[in-house]
Amino acid sequence: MSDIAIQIFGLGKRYRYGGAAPLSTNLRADISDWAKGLFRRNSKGHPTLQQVHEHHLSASPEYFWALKDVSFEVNQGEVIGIIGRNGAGKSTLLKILSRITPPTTGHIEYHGRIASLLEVGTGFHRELTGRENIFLNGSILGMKRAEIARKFDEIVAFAEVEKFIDTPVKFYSSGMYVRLAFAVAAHLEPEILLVDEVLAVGDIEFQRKCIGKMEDVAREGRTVLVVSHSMSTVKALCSKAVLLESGRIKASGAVDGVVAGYVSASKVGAAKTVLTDADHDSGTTNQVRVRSLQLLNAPGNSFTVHWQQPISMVADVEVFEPLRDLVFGASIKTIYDTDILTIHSDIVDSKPQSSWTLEPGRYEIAFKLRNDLRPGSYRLRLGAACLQHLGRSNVLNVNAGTLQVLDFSEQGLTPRPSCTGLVNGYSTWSYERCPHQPKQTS
Amino acid sequence: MNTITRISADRHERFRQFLADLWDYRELFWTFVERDIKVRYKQTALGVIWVILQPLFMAGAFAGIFGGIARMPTDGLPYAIFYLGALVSWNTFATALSSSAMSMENNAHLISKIYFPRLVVPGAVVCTSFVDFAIGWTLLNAAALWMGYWHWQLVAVTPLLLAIQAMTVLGFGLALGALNAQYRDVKHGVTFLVQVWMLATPVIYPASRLPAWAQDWLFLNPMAGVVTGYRAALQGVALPWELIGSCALMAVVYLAVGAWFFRKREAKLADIL
Repeated sequence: MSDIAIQIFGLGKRYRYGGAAPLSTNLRADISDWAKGLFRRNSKGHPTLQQVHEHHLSASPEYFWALKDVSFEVNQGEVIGIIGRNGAGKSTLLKILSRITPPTTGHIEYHGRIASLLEVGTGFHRELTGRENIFLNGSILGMKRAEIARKFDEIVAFAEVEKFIDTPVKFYSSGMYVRLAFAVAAHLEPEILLVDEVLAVGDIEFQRKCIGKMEDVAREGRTVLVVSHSMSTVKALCSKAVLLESGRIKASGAVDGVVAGYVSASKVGAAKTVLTDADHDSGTTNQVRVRSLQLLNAPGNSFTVHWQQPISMVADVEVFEPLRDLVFGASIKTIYDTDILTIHSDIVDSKPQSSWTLEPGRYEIAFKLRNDLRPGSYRLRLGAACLQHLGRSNVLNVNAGTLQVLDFSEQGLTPRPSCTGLVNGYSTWSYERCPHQPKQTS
Repeated sequence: MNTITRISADRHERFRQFLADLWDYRELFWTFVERDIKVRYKQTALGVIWVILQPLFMAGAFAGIFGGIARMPTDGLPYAIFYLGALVSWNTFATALSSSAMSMENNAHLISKIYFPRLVVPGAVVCTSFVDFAIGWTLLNAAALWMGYWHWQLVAVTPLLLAIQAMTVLGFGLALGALNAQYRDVKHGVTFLVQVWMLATPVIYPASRLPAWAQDWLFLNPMAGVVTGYRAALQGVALPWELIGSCALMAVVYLAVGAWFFRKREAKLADIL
């Protein structure tokens, strides 16, 4: 018996920019190509339709290679992480492996049955009952009916929907729906499992269940391919990893090395968002506007920082009227709008500072913040207020978008998954044996 | 013990895989048939009774308008039998044609997320239409018995006529379904196609009323052979074997062309839907 589960040779996939071309040109082009092909095929010495087509495709700037010359092998029982930036070709690779879309070049050979989980609940029908959907979804995922019938009770128990099994799923709560869908997928027994991390979009509890299930599958000696953005997930689950960049393999091998390579390859540069009047709260005056906000030390070109990396920002601000006793501020919130922290220009390192007086004109306002946020997405807001003897009046309140904190540091360290919450905790612990011990009976 | 699967850019290799898959996924085919049947009449008060009511109402309306008002000749059959005989097969044909043309689009969420031989979807649609046909056909037999027009030929010729109908609808449904995935124009054209096709088929009028030149070309439309066949069987006269034979041949051609076209487009479906 061979030890190799999947072999991939020179795989390539070409797409057209913006999906299929607009209908009219597409239909017309198709018909004219077809007519030309008929003509060409009849006269010797001319390229065939296929060749004309290939030439047209490779030369045309409308096309791009989502994957190019990808070759690697996966041994039986290995858990492999596929990592890379958005658009690196991870999902395309998964789609070709699960045979949803064919490759443009190259081929793949694999042993045994592949099941792919690109989403849960594929093919669920709202009008059908839970029972009917288990059979429908199971069949779509490639289970035999006898197999589903055998595991039926187990699936229902796992999903905790016993009472509602004969109710149409359109009456289910979203939680029940997702549980049932995941329960079916969790009872697949393929030799090879392909998982896209988009699977783990549910609540924390559900994500943990997904990851736990993947660990079980891996322990049972089956082959698993996981596509993920989360370095900590990949490090926890996988023994090997493949790093894709612009459709090509950048690195592959033991997971630690590949993850470290990915982490160090993320260049640091400025990321900028342009803010419009629509981002400014309507309640504030028109005395001052933020034109754009720059993150000076972003790895990549999005509003992203490493875990534990200080945040360094510059706001491009336009002042229209003279502002006296001005204080700038910023706040970071959870995506559910709970405040995590607020910072102000008149307090630096807990020491009071004087407020500012600004004449009309353009200003660059910079601030730095020590970053103790845990990996995740946060909302960023900027504000300004004029201090007056009666109190403060807000002159600026602007939504500056989302800030992403990666789950690895600049040095490639990852936070421990068991630490939860919004911010990193810094603590010291110790223990000491008490001098008076209860008497023990021997 | 382990089967080796090959995914390749080469179309010939894919074809071998395709045949193996079609067999592997036979259970999914029945699951889709079951789903389509179950879903169709969910949350309707009358449920399956609709399958009986539809041809009955339509035959009644046709008999009233074309018989009672227009005095259409029927080759000696009573209007009710004349129209029911044609509508049972025509209705299931028309429904299956338009829903198989839409089947790729309607199942786009599945096709872009999971692999199975795409042929299973339109195949299941056509198979589902057989259920409607079986109910309508039973109704036709009951009506023919009651009115004294039942003839053993009706039962004997049904498998052949049903096969012609199935091949035709699958051939066209496959081609239209694959086309509709790319050009949604097809969806709007299909309604029109079904209407024109019905007029081109001797449903409202008897085939014998067509001019001689038109009768010569009737074999191009296999449904003409199907409808004419049922009517001849109900009349108890000799079946038009020449027409049925050539229609059967044409149906095979349509199926072959439709399946070839579908196969050619199948792989691209997930990228264009």
